[in-house]
Amino acid sequence: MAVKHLFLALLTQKELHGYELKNGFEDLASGKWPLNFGQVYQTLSRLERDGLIESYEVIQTDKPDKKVYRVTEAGRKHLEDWLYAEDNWNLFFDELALKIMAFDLINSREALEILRGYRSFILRVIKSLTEMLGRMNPTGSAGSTHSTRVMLVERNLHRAEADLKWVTSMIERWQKYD
Amino acid sequence: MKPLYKTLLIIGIAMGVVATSLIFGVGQGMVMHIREKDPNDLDIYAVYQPTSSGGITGMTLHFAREIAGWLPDDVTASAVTFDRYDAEVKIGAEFFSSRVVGVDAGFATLFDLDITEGRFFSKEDQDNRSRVCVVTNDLVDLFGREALSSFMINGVEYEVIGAVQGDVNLASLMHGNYSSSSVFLPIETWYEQFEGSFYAGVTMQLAVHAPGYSKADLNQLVSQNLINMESAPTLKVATPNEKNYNAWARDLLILAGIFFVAFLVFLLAGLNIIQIASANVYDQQRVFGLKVALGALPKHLAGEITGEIVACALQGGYLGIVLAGIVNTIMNHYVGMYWAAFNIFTAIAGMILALLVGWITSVIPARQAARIDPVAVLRQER
Amino acid sequence: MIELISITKVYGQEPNTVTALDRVTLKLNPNELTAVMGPSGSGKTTLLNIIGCLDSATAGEYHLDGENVAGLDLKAKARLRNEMFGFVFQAFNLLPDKTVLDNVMIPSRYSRRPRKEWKPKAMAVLEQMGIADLALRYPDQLSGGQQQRVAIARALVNDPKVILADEPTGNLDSATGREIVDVLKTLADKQGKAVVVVTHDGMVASQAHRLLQMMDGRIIDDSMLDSSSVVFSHPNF
Repeated sequence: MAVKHLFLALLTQKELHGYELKNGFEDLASGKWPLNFGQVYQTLSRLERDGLIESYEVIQTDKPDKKVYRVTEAGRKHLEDWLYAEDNWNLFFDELALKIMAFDLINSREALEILRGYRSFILRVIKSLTEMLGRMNPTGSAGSTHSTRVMLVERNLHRAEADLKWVTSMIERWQKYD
Repeated sequence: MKPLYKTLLIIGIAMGVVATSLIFGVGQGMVMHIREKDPNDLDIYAVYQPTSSGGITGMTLHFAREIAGWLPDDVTASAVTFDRYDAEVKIGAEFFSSRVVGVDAGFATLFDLDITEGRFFSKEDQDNRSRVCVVTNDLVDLFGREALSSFMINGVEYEVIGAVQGDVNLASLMHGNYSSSSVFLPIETWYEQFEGSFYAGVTMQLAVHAPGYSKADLNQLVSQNLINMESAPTLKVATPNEKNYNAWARDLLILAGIFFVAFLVFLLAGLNIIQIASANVYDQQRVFGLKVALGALPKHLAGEITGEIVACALQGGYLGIVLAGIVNTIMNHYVGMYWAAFNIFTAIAGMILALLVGWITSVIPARQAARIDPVAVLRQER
Repeated sequence: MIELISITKVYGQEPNTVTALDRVTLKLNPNELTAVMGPSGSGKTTLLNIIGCLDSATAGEYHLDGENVAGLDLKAKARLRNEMFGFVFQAFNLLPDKTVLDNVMIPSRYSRRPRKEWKPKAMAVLEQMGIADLALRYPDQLSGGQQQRVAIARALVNDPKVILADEPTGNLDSATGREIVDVLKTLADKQGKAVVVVTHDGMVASQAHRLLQMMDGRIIDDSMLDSSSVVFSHPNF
C-alpha cells in the first residue's frame, strides 16, 4: 500500500515517532486522507517486520515512553524501487467505469440522464478543486505552485477537465440515439 | 466613420461646393452685367425725397421743367441728366474717363457744394448754350490748373470755369456717383452735345431741395398736377432707401433663384453623399448594432451620423470654396465678359449649401442606422 | 428580480419556423453567477438576448422587477438595456477608433446621466477592473484579457443590475479566461449583480453558482453547483 512508502519517504528525512508520521502523512495529503492510529501502527509493525525500518524506545519521565522509527538501508532501497517502478493503469479506476459497463443493459434515456448527472458532478468537482487550489495559492504567486500539494490538485483538475470533455462528447453522442 | 469614407465625403462635398459656387458666381456675375448694361430700365419714374433734397427721375427735359413749375417757391429744384459713360474726355494730352452730367445753374446751391475755383455756370450760360463746364476738385488736383485750360469732350472744346467739392448727395441721386471725377455742363449744352434735341430721351431727373415738405406732401403735389394732364406718365415719390429697395429685392430674388438651382445641383451631388454615408452605415453595422444594444435610441444615432456628415461638409465646404476661388479666378481671366463673381457671398452661400446638403443627406443613413437589428449584426461574430 | 414564465421564441414564417426557445421558465437572482451551457443551436444566445431585451419573445411573460417587459416599445427597451443590463461579448466589441475611456463612456452617452458624471464614473469602473492606467490607450494596444476587462467596465458603467455575457472567454486563453470568470464572479459575490454567462467551456461553467443546461430550446437541467457536496475519497489504506 502507498501509505507505507510515504512513511519510508518521511523517515528518510529524519527519525519520527508514530504520531509524527501520521501527521506528516496527512499533511502531505492536504488533510484529505486521514489515518487512524490502528492503521499507522499496523503499517509500522509490518515495515519493521520486513526490516525496512527499525525502532528504539525513548524514555520520558513525565510522559509515557515513545517509540522512535528510522529507515534502514533496505527501507531506502525499497522506497527507491517503488518510486521508479512503472505503475499499472487501472482500467476500472472508479465507479462510473463500472456503471458504463451497465449502459448496454439499461435504456439509453437513463444512460443519458446518468451522464448528465456525471457532468454536473464533474463541474462541481472542478469548482471544488479550483477552490482548493485558490486556498493553497491565494496570492497567485509563482513560488508555491511547485509544491507537491499544488501538483496533486492540479493533476486532479486536469483529469477532471479531460473527463468533462469526455462526458460532454458522450452526452452529445447519446443524445443522437435519444 | 472610416477615413476612406470621410475623405470621399469631403471630396464629394468639395466638388459640390465648387460646382455650385461656379453656378452661383456666374449667375451673380450675369445679374451684375445685365444691370450695368441697362441702367435706364430701372425705376424710370421715381420721385424721391431725401432729408433735404430730392429728385424726380425718368422724364424729358420738357417734363422736368413742367414739374419744377408745379413746385412751391420755397422748393428749389435742378434738373440733372444721367451721366454719359460713353463721353470721351480729353484733359491736356490725356484721355480720362469721367462722368459728364448736365445740370441747372442752381445745382451747386441745391447740393451745397463748395466752389473751390472760379464760379459755377449761370442761367445765362444755360440760355446761351455756352461751351463751359465745372469740374470736381479732384480733377484739378489730378491734372493741375494748366492742363484744364485745354478740355475736350468728344472732340469739342470746353472752357473750365470753376471747380467744386462736396457730397453731391450720392445716395439720393439714382444713377452714378457725382462726387468725384465728374464734369458738370449746363443742361441745354449737354442736350445739344449728346441728344441733339431738347425733347428727346427720358434721361432726366429732377433733384429738389424741399425742407419742410414730407414725402407725402410732395406726392400729393405731383399727383394733383398729374391729374390735370393728358396722358400722364407714371410718377412716384420715393425715399432713397425705397428706391434701392426694388432693385435690391429683384437682385435678391434672382440670387435666391440661382441659389435654388445651385442647391438642386448640389442635391444631385447629395445623392452620392447619401450613397457614401449609407455605405458607411452598412459597413459599420456592427458598430451601430452595438450602440443599439448598449441603449442608443434612434435619435442618438441620427445625431452622431448627422454630426459626422456635417463635420465632413464643413471641411469639404472650406476645400470647395478655396477650389472655387481658384477656378473662378482662372475663368475670369480667360472668359472676360461673363465674369463669375467670387466674393464673400459666394463663400457664404457655398458653406450654407454644404451644411444644408450635409444635414439633409444625413437623414436617410441615420434612418438606416436606427433600423439595424442588433441581434442580427452581433450574431455574425459566430 | 427577473422572471421568465413560459417564454417561447419562434423564428421565421410558417411553415418554415424554428423554435429557438420552448416554454422556458426561469428566475434570476442577485448575487448569483449563472452559467448557461448547451450544444450550439440549443437556444442559449436567444435566451440571453431575450433576457437583455435585445429580442422579444413570441409568447410568454417576462417580469423585470415586477414589471411586464413583453409589452414595452423599442424606446423603453433601449432604456432598459442602457440602465438595467450590462453586455459582454465574445469579440469584446470595442470601437477601435476610440480610446478605452471613450469606449467605457458609450453607455453613459445614451443615458439620462448628467454629462459631468460620465468621466469620473468611467474612471471608477476602470479602476475597479484594475486598468485605470490604460484609459487613454486604444483597444488594439491591449491584450485580449485587458480588452475584455474594458468591455466589462463598459457593461458596469451605468450600474446595471444584470450582467449578460455571451462566451466572454471564447477568444481568450484558458488562464486569462479564468481571470475574466473570476472578475464576473466577484461582480455577483461582492456587488450583488445577477450575472449570466453563456459558455461552452466547462471550466468556465464550473465556477458558476448555478448551471443551466439547455437542449433544443428547453432548459433540461437547472441546478446549483454546490462544491461542498463533493466527497473526495482515498484508497482504503
